[in-house]
Amino acid sequence: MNELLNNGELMHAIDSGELRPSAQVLALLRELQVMITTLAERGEPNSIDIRSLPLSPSDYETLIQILGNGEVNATINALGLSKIKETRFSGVWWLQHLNSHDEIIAELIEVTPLPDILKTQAPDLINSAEVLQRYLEKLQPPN
Amino acid sequence: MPDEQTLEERLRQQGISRRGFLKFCTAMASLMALPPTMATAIAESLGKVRRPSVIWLSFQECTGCTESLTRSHSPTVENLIFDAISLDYHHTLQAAAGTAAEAARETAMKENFGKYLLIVDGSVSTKDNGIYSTIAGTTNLQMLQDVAKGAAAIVAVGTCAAFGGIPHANPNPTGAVAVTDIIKDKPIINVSGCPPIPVVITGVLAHYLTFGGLPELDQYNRPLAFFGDSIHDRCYRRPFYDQGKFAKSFDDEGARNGWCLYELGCKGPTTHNACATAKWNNGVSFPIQSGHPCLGCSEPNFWDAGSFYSALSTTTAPLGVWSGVAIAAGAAAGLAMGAAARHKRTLAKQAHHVVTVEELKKKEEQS
Repeated sequence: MNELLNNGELMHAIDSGELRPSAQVLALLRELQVMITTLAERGEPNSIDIRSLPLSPSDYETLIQILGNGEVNATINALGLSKIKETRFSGVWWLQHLNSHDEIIAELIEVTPLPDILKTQAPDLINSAEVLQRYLEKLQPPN
Repeated sequence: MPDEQTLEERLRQQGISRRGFLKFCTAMASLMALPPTMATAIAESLGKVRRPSVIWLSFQECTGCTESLTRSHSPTVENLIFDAISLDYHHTLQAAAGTAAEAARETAMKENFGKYLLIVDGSVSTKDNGIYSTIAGTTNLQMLQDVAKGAAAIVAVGTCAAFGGIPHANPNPTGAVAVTDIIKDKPIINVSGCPPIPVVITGVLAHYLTFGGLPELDQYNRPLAFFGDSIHDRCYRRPFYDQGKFAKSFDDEGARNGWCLYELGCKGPTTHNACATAKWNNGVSFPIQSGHPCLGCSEPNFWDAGSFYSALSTTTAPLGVWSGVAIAAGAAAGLAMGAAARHKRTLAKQAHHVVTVEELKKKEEQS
């Protein structure tokens, strides 16, 4: 993702009128506002499929700029990379799923304390115990 | 041939983690235009699927639909979808040729009678008993009728199979018709487009595998998830239309400013497809974003609907209206037969176990 504005730079760009989001972007931001409140008050997570929205390339850039970078950055390596970051708004995550050819196959905004994909999945846990067991059967102590 | 292993078991053998599968299902939810929160439920359902047999028949077509599918921009997803089905006959993609290929089709039909999924691309020649298009000495018409008998459902891929397409265009020398004009007693889903958007083809297959049935369809049997909105409704140039800002020629100020292409003949307002959101070539662009009006290729009779470059209000024939051979064949079949066919279609649907979105949601809430 591009060089992103920090909080101060964003405020300046908004105050100076340099950053003027389209009606589509503003509607999306208002929806996010509701989702954050819902998460805070009722603990209900939510998500938005970015690719289902009629955003122009510049709308997309503006959205990325406004949401910006937050405290967490993670990469998953499963069937290609997934790039996951918390945005400058706590609880608002930007998820990019890439395939093995580094092409984006899904792009989402999730409003949640932690995206599910970051958690270890139950079947993987069972598998992990089995694999460790196999290693333990073969590992030999020092001579 | 179909086997008894579930998709999840096979993926695990290939070293693909549940997290990887969940990621794939997130992409699937996006493809099927379902809420992203459904990914977990889709993973549950799809993971338990046993490979259904798929027979793919190519009739009067240009192979553009197969090209679209195999050149699709998310190979990982397509590989997984192909892993989830057993493609037992596709004369462009299969290794076997000649008698061996036809034998593979017959074996698949016999072993999976009543259960296989039939995919058709290309229109069906009906004039002079369909002799204008044959495979291994059998007319497309005969082959479609034979193979459809044992199909659980049929997917007509591309505008030719869905509506007759270019072979059906005036003067239609081969008497080309759509699959729905021939087969009246099976659930049929039309995935139109010339070619269809690759992710729409895989999205429909994913839906069939996940839910065990056909998605919700529009009046032309197209899945609403992809064909529910017009190009115009989802177009990022729509605000210019609302403001009355139009390009008048391909190199005027309006064109350079990216204004609405309505006056240059854009068929976006009468065309239903997912181009404006799914886009083409790795999601890079779609015709309107590249500065060209929409041709309306996913609608019936788009080829005969007047010039691609006349504004909609000036075309004489309304788009989206069946005409010519399609109507004649329908009329010959008669309305009474239509009612019986609908009943048969309902029975065929009932025989197939179908999961609803609500059931999936409930499962998700329980987990």
